[in-house]
Amino acid sequence: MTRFVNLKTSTKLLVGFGGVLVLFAILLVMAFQAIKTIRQNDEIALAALAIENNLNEDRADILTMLGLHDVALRDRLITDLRSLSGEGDRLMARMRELAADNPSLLSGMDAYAEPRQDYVRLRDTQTVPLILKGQFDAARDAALGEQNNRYLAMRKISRGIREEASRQAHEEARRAYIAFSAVGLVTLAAAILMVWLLNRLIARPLRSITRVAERIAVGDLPEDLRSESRDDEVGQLAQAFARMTHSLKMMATFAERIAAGDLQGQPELLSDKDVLGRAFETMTHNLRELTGELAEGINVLSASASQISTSTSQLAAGAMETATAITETTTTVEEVRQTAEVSNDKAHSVSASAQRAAEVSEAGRRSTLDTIEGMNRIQQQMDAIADSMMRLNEQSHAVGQIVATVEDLAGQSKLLAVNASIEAAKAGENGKGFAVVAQEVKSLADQSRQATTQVRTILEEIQKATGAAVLATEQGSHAVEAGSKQAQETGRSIQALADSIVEASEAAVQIAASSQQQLVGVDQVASAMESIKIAGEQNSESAKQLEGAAHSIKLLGEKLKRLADNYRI
Amino acid sequence: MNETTSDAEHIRKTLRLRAEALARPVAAPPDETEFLEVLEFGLAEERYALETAHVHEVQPLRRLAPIPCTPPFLRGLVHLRGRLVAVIDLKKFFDLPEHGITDLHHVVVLQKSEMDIGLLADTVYGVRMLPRDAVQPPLPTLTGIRADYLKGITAERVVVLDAPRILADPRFIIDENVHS
Repeated sequence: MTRFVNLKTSTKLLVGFGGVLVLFAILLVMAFQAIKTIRQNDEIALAALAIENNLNEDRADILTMLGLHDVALRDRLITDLRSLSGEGDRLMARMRELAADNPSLLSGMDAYAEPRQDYVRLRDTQTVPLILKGQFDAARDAALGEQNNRYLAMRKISRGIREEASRQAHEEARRAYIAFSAVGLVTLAAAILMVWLLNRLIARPLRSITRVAERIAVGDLPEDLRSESRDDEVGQLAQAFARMTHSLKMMATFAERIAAGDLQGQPELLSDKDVLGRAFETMTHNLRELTGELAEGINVLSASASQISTSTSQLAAGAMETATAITETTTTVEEVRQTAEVSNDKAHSVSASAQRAAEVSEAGRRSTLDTIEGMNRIQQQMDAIADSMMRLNEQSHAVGQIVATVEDLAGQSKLLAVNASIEAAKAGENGKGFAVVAQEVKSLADQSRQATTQVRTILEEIQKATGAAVLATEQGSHAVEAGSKQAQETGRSIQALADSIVEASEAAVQIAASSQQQLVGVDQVASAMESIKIAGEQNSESAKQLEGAAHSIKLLGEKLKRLADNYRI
Repeated sequence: MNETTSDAEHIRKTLRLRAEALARPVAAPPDETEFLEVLEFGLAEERYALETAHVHEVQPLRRLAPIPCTPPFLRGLVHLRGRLVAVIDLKKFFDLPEHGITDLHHVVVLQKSEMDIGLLADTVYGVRMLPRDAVQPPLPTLTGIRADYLKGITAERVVVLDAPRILADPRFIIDENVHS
C-alpha cells in the first residue's frame, strides 16, 4: 500500500486505468471471437439456403421444359440450367471454405455432394438431350423417378446442414453471453476500486490544501500545518505550502517590526526572484528616507506653527484694528450719504433754477428781438429827425439870409438917415425939422439893426443848436445803429446764454440723476460697509479662532516631533 | 416869507432897471452957437468926428478901384453918381492897425473944389451935437500929421478932425510922376 502511495500520480493513473483497459481488451477479443463464429455459422446457413434455392430452380426449369414445348423458352432454360450448375458448384466451394474447421458440417457437405454429382450427370446426359430430341415422354421418365428421389435427398441434406449451422450459432451466442457477463462484472469492480483509491489518495489531500490556501488568501497563516511525508506530487504540494506559509510568516514578522517603528532591519531574500522581499527592501529604504524627510518636515512644521501662532496673534490684533477702522468708515459713509442727499436736493433745485433760467433767457431773447425792432424804429425816427434837422438848418440859413438882407436894409436906412441929417444941416434953419426926422429914422435904423443883431444871435444859437442837434441825431443814429448791433449781439449772446442754460439745465438734470445714482450708490456702499463691518467682526472672531487653531497646530507640531523621534532610522 | 419878500424885491429891482434902460433923456434944444454938429465915425477902435458942414455925404464903399503907383494912403477910386472920389485911408496917417477892406466900410465924402475926397471909415455912428466947450484942444505933445489934422478931443475921447486942413493938405494932391 505504502509503495502505491509513494508512486507518482501518473503511474497511479496508469496502473488503475491500465488494469481496467486490459479487462476491456479481453472482453473485446472475446466479443470478436463470438461474433466471428456466429457470423460464420450464419453464412453457412445462408449458403445452404442458397444451394437449396439453386436446386429448386434447377428442378423448376426441367419441369417447365417438360411441360412446355416452346423452342425459344427451351433454349433460354437450357442456358439458365448451365449457369445454375456453375453457381451451384461455386456455392459448394464457398461452403466448403466456410466450414473448413467444422468437421460435422464438412461431412454433411460430402453427403450432399455425392447425390448432386449423380443428379447433374443424369440431367445433362439424359433429360436435356431427350428434351432436345423432342422425346418428352422419355425425358419425363428420366426426370421423374430416380432423379426425383435424388432431388428430395439433396433437399433434405441441405436443410440438415442449415439447421446444424443455426444450432451451432445459437450455442456460440449463449457461451458468449455468459463470458461477457463474468468479464464485465470483474471490470466494473476494478473501476470502482480505482475511483475509491484515487479519491482517497489525491482528492482528499488536495481539498485540505485548498482549505489552507483559502485561509492564506484571507490573510490567515496557520501554525499547525502538517507536513505529510509523501513523495508524490500531493506531498510536494503540501510541503511547498508549508514553506510558503513560513516565508509569509517571516515577511509578516518583518512588517510587524516596521510597524513597530524599527526601520533598521533588512529582510532575507529567499531567492533572486523574491518580489515581496525586494519590495520590502525597497519599502524599508523608502520609509527610512521618508521618515527622515518627515522628521525634517515636522521640524519645519513646528517652527512654522510657532511663526503662524505669532502671525495669527498679530492678525487678530490687525483684525481688531480693521474692525475699528471699518466702524469709522461706516460713520464716514453715513456722513457721505447725508452729504449726497443734500447735494441731490441741491442738484434738483439747480435743475429747477436752470429750467427757470432757460425760460427767463428765452424771454430775454424775445425781449432782445423786440429791442432790435424798437431800435430799428428808433433808427427810422432818428433818420426822420435828422432829415427834419437838415431842413431846419436850411431854413435857418434862409432866415439868416433874410436877416442879412434886413440888416443891410437897416444899414442903408442908417446911411440914409445920416445923409439926411447932413442935408438937413446944410439946409440950415429950414432943415431942422428934417434933421429930427432923420434922427428918428436913424434911431429906427439902429433899433432894426439891433433887432436884426438879436435875431442873428438867436439865429446863430438856433443854428448852433440845430447843428448840435444834427450832430446829436447823427451820433444818436450811430448810437442807435451800434445799439441795434449790440442788441443783436446781445440777442445772440442771450441765445448762446439760453443754449448754455439749456445745456446747463440738461447738465443739471443729469447731475440730479447722477446724484440720485450716487445716493443709491452711497446707500449700497453703506450697506456694503455694513456687510464689511459684519465680515470684519467675523474676521476678528475668525482671527481669534485662528489663533487658537495655530496654537493647536503648534502643539500638534510638537507632538509630531515626539512621534517622529520614536522612529529609529 | 423871506422868499416872497426877496422875490418881490427882485421883481421891483428888475422893473426899475428896465425903466432906466428904456428911459430917454430929454434933450435940451441945441444952441447953434454953442453946439457943434459933427458926423461921428470909427477908425479901428477909436472914434473920430467931422463937422457936418464939411461933409457932403456918406456912402457905402462899393466897387473900389485900386490905383497903381500911388501912395499907400490912397486906397483907390470910387464912382459915386457920376463923380470920381479918391478914397483916403486915415489909418495910414494915424498908425492904426489895418483890417482890410470890406463892404461894410463907408466913404465919408468931403466937399472940395477940384475933386472930392473920400475918407475911409470903418464904422459910421451918426450925426450928433457936441457942445463947443466940450471940445478941448489937443495935447501939445502931439506932433506930425496928427497935430495938423486934429481940432480937438472930447471927454468921451472922440477925436474931432479939422476937415478944411485935411482938404488943404498938399499931400493929397497926387503927383503925376510915379514914385519910385
